[in-house]
Amino acid sequence: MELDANTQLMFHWIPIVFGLFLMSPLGEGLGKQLSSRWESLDTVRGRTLGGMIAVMFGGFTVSAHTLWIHNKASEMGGGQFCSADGVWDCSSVIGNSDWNTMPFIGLPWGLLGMMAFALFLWLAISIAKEPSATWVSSNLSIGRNFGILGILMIFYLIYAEYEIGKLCQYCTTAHVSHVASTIGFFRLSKMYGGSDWSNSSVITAETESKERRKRGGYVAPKNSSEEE
Amino acid sequence: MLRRNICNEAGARSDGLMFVSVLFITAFTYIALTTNPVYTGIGVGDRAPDLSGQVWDGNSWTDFDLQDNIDSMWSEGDGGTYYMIEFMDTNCGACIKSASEITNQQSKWTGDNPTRSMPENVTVEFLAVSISLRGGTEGWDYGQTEITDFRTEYEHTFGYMDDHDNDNRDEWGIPGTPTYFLVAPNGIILYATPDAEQGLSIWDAMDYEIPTGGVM
Repeated sequence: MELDANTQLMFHWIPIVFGLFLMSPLGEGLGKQLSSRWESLDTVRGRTLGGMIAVMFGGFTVSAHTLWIHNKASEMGGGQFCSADGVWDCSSVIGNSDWNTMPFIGLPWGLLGMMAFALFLWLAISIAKEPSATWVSSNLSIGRNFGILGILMIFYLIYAEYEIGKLCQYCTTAHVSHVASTIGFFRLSKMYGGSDWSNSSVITAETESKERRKRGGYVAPKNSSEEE
Repeated sequence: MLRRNICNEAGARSDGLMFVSVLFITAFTYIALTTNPVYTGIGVGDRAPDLSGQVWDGNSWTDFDLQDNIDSMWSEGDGGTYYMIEFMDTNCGACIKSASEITNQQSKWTGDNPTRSMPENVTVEFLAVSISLRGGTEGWDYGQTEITDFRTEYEHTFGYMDDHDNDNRDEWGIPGTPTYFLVAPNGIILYATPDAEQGLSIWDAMDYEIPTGGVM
């Protein structure tokens, strides 16, 4: 059974909706329920990071799907790889050779999306794993700046959709993920250095040591006395 | 004394990088294995750019769009229509010289009873695209009458497209005239004058590329 393009798109929305919910104040209850498995979700910072990672993952997969559609359209000469339903018509947008690559560079937008979300994921996962690291501030700054740059590109792509006269549901999904990720970086930056961040760090550091001990893993000494 | 844990800091970054790399490589491998993109251009192996405009078929001017005549699902061995496309200028000396040769070739390839042996489900169409090389230059006249007169003079039976606004010429990036292309039924260019080896003409390429024999 072959799923139509709109049904396939729903699979990308699942992590995005989950992530958005977790990032929102409504996600507190869900975070608490999941905290037995992932303890950091008990904190605002943990929920924001967890939600961001889910949203970015959805953004990455939808960008990869967009690149696949782009290549398939080029291979088959247009074709119906996306559903064309009124104004929502990704074939006309992704298959449009005048607009479907970056100006000057010529990279397909899907590939750029994959690279952007891969970078975001790396930044967010690194922070989630070591929230007290010295480079957290620079990771957040890179995330914010690339987020703003990406939003400018989104405006350009919305203009392209306006020129073409159609909207691309896959591209819009990636745009939503990007904007949500950028908001997440700004929220984390606001938290960073404040009580929300440091309280969470204490909890995380303690629980991390406990979890590693449980798993029998190496626990790096924190004090010079521990080393001796 | 509290010591900063450098190992964990580096580990967090490399763990993240590992996860992202695996994700990226997996997605990229899947895309590479399941798609085979062909880019639009005028080289051999490229997908022919769009070609549309009004065509004089000997009786009237009708709209033509190459994309409407392309079968993207075609593969080698299937029946279909090959297009021999000539970008020409009715005033250019080389185009006038080659017009007589095309008159001889058209009976070999086109019409109801082409003299060249071909499978029954394979056909060949010629299309001349009349462009304007030197619009406004004295002695270089352009207009639909020029096109119809030229076609009549050389007894051509195939269509002539009016591209005096040079829309198609610009889209294709035609360097000069006459420039020939052989386009397969799926829109892929099999022969292009700018890419051709020295001495290999469009007619040689057609003999080589278009199948011979009975029904396929």
